[in-house]
Amino acid sequence: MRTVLLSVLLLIATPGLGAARAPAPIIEDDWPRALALARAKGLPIFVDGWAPW
Amino acid sequence: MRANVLPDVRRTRRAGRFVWLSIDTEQPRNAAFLERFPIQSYPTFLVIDPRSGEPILKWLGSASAAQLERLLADAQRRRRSGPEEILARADRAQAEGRLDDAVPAYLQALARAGPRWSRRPRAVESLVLALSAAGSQQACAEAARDEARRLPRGASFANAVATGLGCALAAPADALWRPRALSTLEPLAREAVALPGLLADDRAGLFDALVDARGVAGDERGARELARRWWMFLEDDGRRARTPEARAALDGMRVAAARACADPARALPALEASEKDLPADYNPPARRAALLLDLGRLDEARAAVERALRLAYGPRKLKVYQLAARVLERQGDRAAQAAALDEALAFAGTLPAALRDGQVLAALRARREQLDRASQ
Repeated sequence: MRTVLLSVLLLIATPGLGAARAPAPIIEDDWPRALALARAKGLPIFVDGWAPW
Repeated sequence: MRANVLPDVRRTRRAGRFVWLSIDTEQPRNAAFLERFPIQSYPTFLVIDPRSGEPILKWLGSASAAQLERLLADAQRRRRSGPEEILARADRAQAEGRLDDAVPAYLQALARAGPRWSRRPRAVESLVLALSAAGSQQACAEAARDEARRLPRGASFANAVATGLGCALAAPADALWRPRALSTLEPLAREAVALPGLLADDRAGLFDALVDARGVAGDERGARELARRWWMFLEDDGRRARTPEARAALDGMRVAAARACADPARALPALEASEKDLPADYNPPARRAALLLDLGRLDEARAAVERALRLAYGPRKLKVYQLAARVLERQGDRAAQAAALDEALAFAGTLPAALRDGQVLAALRARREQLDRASQ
């Protein structure tokens, strides 16, 4: 019983299995900052170009 | 998309391998970005290589969470060969705006890969979007007609058909190829609109195109029946929405569907709720003003458009000024109409070049000159 309970707790605490993953942070309307961060981290930039209508 | 899909994608494991940037294309502070990466349709998703600063992938229009995850995977894939390599080349050309290179590359990838290629639905969707973006209405409609009908029924099929039908509807009424394209795409769109699991935006867009198609066919009764179904779908979607933002995302469609039902007033309660829930958003009062103008409730329309103007910003504010000028014209208040147009032209002068809509600006100038001539 204890083993089962421990497994359930581990499942809940393991990202991507039971717990909700925190969303990746998003930079709002600041291309220079996004580019600098992407260069520093060596990551590509994903851009959501939208209009408020 | 912003309210429903992106938050889910940003929670996926792959999301952490990107820097996420949101660009409000109406914000003057984004002018430098938009000069470098022009965006004409919404939403547009880009993946940009941080070293070169060049785009490697561009996606126009909505996408489900699963589609976006696959796009992220595509952007990360390094070792490619055969059709995958050609598809990546097409994506890069499309992202850089070289549509003349992108279209043949998509076609080449499709021809090389054969009918069972797992990337086929996505490649067909990209091909049709590229043709639409290039303004090649006939090629867009015919590619959708010929390629989409062989696809498995899912989001890519629905988007390719909707885009192709949109191209056929936007073509000149006397184009010789148009009737055949419409008659083959419309049944596919009817099939698509009934598919389970589509994004609400996509399903609403399909209803919109289908209503237009019935109108083009002169089938008023059929158009009205589809409009009724469109409205029922939107009402259901509104009830299911998890947040006011998610519900308001389809308000523009509510306006169009209410008009298609020849009953503009039916959308007013939803817009009233959106204005109450989202007090900083200019869209609900602007949409209310447009419907109140339809209904001839001019004092209420004027009050609503004034509220919208106080909140509006960026190039879209010019459209709100246009609406204000129409309301004032219907009220017979020529002085206020001229003042609204003058204010609009002065505001346009403050917008960065990348955010200026030449067509709207020309229409505003023409209307102002017309008023001057009429008063002489």
